[in-house]
Parts: sequence; C-alpha cells; structure tokens
Amino acid sequence: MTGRARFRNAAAFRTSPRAGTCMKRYVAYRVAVTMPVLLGVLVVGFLLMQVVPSDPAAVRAGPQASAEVVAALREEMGLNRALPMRFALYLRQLARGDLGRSLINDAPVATELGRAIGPSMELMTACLLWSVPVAVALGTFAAYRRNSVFDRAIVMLSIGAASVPVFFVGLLAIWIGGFWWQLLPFTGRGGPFWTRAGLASLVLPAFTLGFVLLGAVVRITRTAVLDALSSDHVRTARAKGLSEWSVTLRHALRNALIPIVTLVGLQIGYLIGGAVATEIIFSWPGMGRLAVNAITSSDLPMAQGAILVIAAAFVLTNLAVDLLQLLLDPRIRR
Amino acid sequence: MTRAFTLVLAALMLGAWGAGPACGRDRGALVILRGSDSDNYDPVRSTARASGEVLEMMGDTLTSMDWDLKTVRPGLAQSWDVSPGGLTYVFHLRAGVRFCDGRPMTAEDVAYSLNRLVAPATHSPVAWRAGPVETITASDPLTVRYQLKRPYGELLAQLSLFFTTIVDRHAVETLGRDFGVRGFNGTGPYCWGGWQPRQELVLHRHRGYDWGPPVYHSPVPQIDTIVWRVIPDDTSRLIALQSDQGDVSQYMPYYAIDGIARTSGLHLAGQPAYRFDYILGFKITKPVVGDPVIRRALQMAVDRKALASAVFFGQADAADDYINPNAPDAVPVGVAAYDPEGARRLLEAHGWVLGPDGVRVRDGQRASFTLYAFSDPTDTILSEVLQAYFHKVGIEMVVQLWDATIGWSKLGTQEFGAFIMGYPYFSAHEALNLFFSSHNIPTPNRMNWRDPETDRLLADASAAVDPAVRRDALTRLQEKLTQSDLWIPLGREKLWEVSSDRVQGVRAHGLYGIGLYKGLDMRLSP
Repeated sequence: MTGRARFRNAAAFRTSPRAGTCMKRYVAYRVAVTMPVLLGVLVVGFLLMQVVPSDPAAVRAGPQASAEVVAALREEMGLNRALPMRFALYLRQLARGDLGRSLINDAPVATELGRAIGPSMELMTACLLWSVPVAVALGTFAAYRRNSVFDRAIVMLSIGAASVPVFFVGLLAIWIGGFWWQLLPFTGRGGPFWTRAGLASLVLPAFTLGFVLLGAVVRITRTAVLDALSSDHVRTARAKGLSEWSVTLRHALRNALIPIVTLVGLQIGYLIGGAVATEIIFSWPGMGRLAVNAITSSDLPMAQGAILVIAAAFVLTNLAVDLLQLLLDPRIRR
Repeated sequence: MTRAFTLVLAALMLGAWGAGPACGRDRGALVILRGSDSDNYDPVRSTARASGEVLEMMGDTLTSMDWDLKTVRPGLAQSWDVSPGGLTYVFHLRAGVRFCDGRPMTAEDVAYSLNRLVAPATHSPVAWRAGPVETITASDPLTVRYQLKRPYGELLAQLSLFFTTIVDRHAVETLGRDFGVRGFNGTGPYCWGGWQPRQELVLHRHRGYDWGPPVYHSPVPQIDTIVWRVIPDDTSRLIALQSDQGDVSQYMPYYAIDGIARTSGLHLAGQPAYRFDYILGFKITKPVVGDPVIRRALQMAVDRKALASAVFFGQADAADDYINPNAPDAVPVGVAAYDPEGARRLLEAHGWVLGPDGVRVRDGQRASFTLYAFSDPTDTILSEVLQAYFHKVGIEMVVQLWDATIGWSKLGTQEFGAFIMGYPYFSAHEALNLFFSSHNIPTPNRMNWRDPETDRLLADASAAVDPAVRRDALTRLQEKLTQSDLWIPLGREKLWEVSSDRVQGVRAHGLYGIGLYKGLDMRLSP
C-alpha cells in the first residue's frame, strides 16, 4: 500500500462510526487513567516533602532565633499536627481548589504558581517554535543526503548539542549576545512576549533551551526518516517516478513524525518544570526556579503545588501525545 | 511548517533588533543586582539580608549608624535623653516626616511599630533586639518614651537596624498578611513601586524626603527609580554589570574581585569596618570535642592566614580573635597560634596516641567527631581544608554538609560535634550574648556553653550604663571564652560594592551585611 493510499484509508477510518466509538473509548480511557496518576503524584509529593528532615519554622525564623521562637512558629504554621491530619486538610483544601498559602511569605500558592506558569509556557513555546522546525529540517536533510558531508556535519552538530551542558550554552549565549554584541538582555523577563522588551528578553533563554532539545530531535528525525525511506511504500513511491525530495518530504517524513511527536511531547513536560538551569542563568521567573526555591526553603505547600503542576503538565502532555498519535497512526485506532 | 518557522525567526530577529544596544533598559533607573530575593518585606517577619537592604531604603529607624559601624547617629529621632539608671529613653522625633502616602508620621506610629515587634503574637525572631521592654508609649506627637525592665546598653545601636523600621499602622492593618508582600508604607527615601517575587522590586523616589541621616552628604534621594533585580547566577551577574544591564552589586564571587579591580568601567568601594565572620564552633557536651585539649590542638592545627587567602581568594582577613577588632568592645586576646607540631606534642602529652589508621586514640576513644555545615561553596571548601588540617595532627573530622533546606534545623539538634557558620554583627556584646548566653541553648548557643560566670558578665555588660564597666565585663568574657577554645575563627569576609560608570557616589556601608544602606548619595552620571 502506498503512503497516499494508507492515509486515504486512515481518513476513511476516522469518519466511520465504529472508529469514532473506538476513539471516544480510547480517549475516555486515557483521561480516566490520568486521574489515579495525579492522585498518586499528590500522595507521593506530599509524603516526600514530609520525610525530608527539614523544618520550615527554623528556615523562617533564621539562624539567630531561639528555640522558643522556632517552636512558636512551628505551632503557628500548623507543623505540629499529625501527618494524616495535615494530609486530610491538604486534600480538603485541594477539593475546594485552594492550594494553600506559602509557609514562607504567606502568599497564596495558586497566585505564585500562576505568576510562574506564564513565563514557563512562554519560554517553552518559543523554544519549541524555533528548535523543532529547525531540528526536523536538519534531521530530514541529513537523511536525504545520508553519508554526505552535510549529513556528517549535522550529526556532529546534533551530538554536540545533546552533549553540551545547558549552562555552558547559556553562558556562551550571554557572552556573545549580551556582552560582546550588547544586543540582547539576559537579566530576567522584560515583560509579556508581545512587548518589545519581553520579546527581546525571550530570545537568549529560548535559544539556550532549544539548543539542548535540538540534538535529540535531529537524531531521532534522521533515524526515523532513514527507516521510513527504506520501507515498502517509499519504494513504491520511488517506482512511481516521484522525485527523491518529494518522496522524502511527503512519504518518509510524514511516517517519521510519530517518534518525533512522542519525543517532543515528553520534552514539553521537562521544559515546563525542568528548565531550572536556563531559568537560573537568565533569571527567568519560571516554574523550575519556583519549585527549587520552594524546596530549598522548605516551603511545603508551595513545593507540593509546584510538583502537582509539573506532574500534571507531564501527564497532560502525554495524553495529548497519545491522542495525536491516534491521528497520525491508523494502526493504534484498530 | 516552513512559513511558521520563518515567522518565528523573523519575530525573534525583530525582538533582537528592537532590543538594540544596552538592551532596551530604562536609562533613568538604577539597577541593583543581587543573588536572591526575600520572602517578604515586613521588618518584623524577615531576618534576611535581602529583605533588609530594601527595607533600609523604604523605611527609617529612630537612630542611624555611621560609616564606622560603631557610632550611633540620629535617625527619625533627632535627639534622645537617657535616664541616669538607663531604664528610660525619651526620643524626640523630627518634625515634618511623612509616610510615602503623604500622611504625617507621629510618635503613635513609632510606638505602634516597636510594640508590634515585641508583641508575643508577632512571634518575631528578632524581638529580643528591642531589649527587655516594659512599655513603649507616645507622650506627645513628637515624643516617644521607651521604658525598660532592665538597663540595655545596646538599645540605641539596635534601634538602627531594619527590624525596627517605623511602619504605617493603617497599611499594616489594611494589608494584613500581605503587608510587605503586596505593599508597604514607610518614611524612607524610596517608596514601594511593585514587586515581582524572585524577579525584581521597584522603588520610586519619595517626593519631599529630606530627613536622611546625617551620615550622608545629601539628605535627599538623588535617583527617581531604583530596581532591585535578582540574578541568581554569579557569572550572569558579573557579565550583566560589565554589559550595562546592571549598575551596582555587592554580590560578586570572591574569585572575581581582583579581576573587577582591573576592569575599566567598573569600580570597587570597600568597607574596612565591615563585620561578617566565619567560625567553627564546638558542641562541648559531645565526646572528643568536649575535651579542652582536643579543642586547643585543633585551634593550633589551623593556618588561618592560608585559609583566608585560599578559601576566600584573599577577600577575607585572617581572624585571630572571636570578635573583629573594629567592633565596639573587641579585645585582642588572640587564639592559640598556628603550630601543628605543638598540637601533636600537646595531644601526645595528654595520652592521645596515634592509631594505626592515623587517628589518635585514648582509652578506646577515637579522636573523631562530626561537623555539620551548609553545602554552599564557602562552607564546602572550608570543611575540606579544615578536615585536612585536623588530619595532620591525628584528629578525624567527618564532614556532613546540608542543603539550606535542612541545615538550620539540623544545627538546632544535638547530633554534631562541630559546625561552621557565618554571621554579621556590630558589637562584641551582641555577638557574645547571642551565641554564649546559656538562655540561648540549643540555638543559637549551639556550643551548649552553660557557664554562670559568662551569664553574669553578659548581664553586667548589658546593664552597664558606664562604657568602661561594659568594656571591663566584655574583656573578661572574651578572655574566658578564648581560653576555652569554643570557636576557631576562620575568616572575616570583606565587603565590596561594585558599580559601573553610570553611577556615582556609591559607598559600602555594611550594617547587618547591607552594603548600600540608604543609598542617598548615589546618583546617575549625567
């Protein structure tokens, strides 16, 4: 079956009533499965923060506070209550949509998370928007010109990008873009991305974060396109007299998208919560820095809230990837 | 896909082009760079230096501190009277002082702010700094009466610290838990403009402010807008100063200071009177370090000059006493000098013989103890170097580093034999009272030093109205503590304010580790 025919069949399958029911069931199943996962994250996140031998009252009181002051603060912060009671209170709060208040600055956790999630999403989106198209283009071109000088250069670039630590890329970007050319700011978010200052401040962190992602996506694209190029439907397309470029783009790349989507999807979860090094280097006020700050200051409600949001991002991204694969790969729907 | 990519690339290039040289920053604002933010800006709730450095600009205190960090000067109180027994202080306030919202400040506001600090319900970790307060009341709109239960010689100096900042009662009650988080109303040279936690805090010039402390040439703020910007990474902060994305910072890594001194366009302002010391303390109720011979040997095993040079890259002075010689009532007693050979002889003479593994033993007890310290770079290197020094005289120190998350609670336990700590202070009495009073066991008296004579001398010093009496008590105390080898002084950190060509009049102050203090003489270059 040619690639074109497969997609025509897939389109027909999508419109059939049986396929529609299957898809709905699958989607319902995947959504239902995320619930216990999130509940598990809640429980594990809460317990993890409790077993760490830290004392938020001691952190808040500071190094010169007496034992009496620390004890009074512990009582005030509700840390003397039994663990099950604290968990029950936490769940009751969550059920009301309340993530609690920070133990350290008393600010509502939801407000603080709300402040951090926007910049994180902004950084993640900008990173994906430049790095994924570039990586897919490079990977496809490398596969198209396999074993050529271009292929080797792209493979070397991708290995380099995947191997170089993110802080090194960040410092290099700061050195060149910020210090040497004095062209771009690197001292925090200048505002929302639609403002001039905001957009300018987004360039270097988005480049840094995307550069690290680039290597992995180039590699998987090249491999997937090469695999697809050796498949039967591509051979048939060639036999039909289509140009190699057309075969690569329209038949091979389309089939290679499944592993690429899976990889990028997994990276999105990482980009929301795990871009800590980039956020620290560029003073970016995102989720990663918020979570690390909360953990290092024993701010339990804030840390739990951040863990919950990051975990939810992972789970929802995985769900989206699964659903996207459903559209891309007719075999899953059967 | 190609079209989308082209659009994104174009947008990013447009952003880059739009940024242009100097990266589109507000040229009228002074940008101060620092490594971390505070959790809040309420003077009675936060002990962080990051909080204090902003509160010093947003608020005022009854007294101020001169550049020598010893001499108390007028602040909001233009003068004061002290009763002969030292129990009553009457503060005469300046007329014409206003809060940022324009409301006049009165003695009622002063009494409210200080009573709020000492109120048990506040649970302020720094309430002790206000002394044994009986009552604080407003006698008339410009007079405050501060009545003590016992004399407290340090009151005037303590009242210059940011913990005693005078705040607006109405703002405190209106904002409630959000006071110092969503807003602040003080009488300082700069007013709260807005705070994005972990990002930046903006201050605007307090129009009409002309009551700055007499330690400045100008009592009036010179800059319209100040931005306190957080850049957690040391290297990014350094490059930001060099590339005109920041103007002033006191948070430069030790290793960079020499390079900064040689860099054109950057300027260093030091503060020789600064007091921020690192010490290693012994928990004397634990085995091994409970033995005075062991503690003396450990004292003799450390080359403090080499430590200051190697660990702090020369940005600390070697410390031979518990208290910085610049501090009021410091006495040059001198801890035991570096003499590793002498330390070995001392241990041998007291029955600590070298075991087969290089660690000494006496009566089946190995000369081994555990050190708790923080996992920050300074503590880590200090721990490793000290471990090597101690090993050379046959004493094993097991190092346990803790993240800041856990460190302070771990230092409140009885688990360790020694600990490393850095702390700011301004007088011998403040430091010794905090760390050696038996009332402060187990923390901050982490040594478990329980000694009636120490408590008596501290009480004498605290109650002394005559400076000579206080000095005599503190001299005897420093001699006693030094002889007991409870601490190994490790180094006295230096303070540097680094500034770019854009700003003039930068001077390092250093009260409670705060470099810029009120920053009144700072101005942007024309």
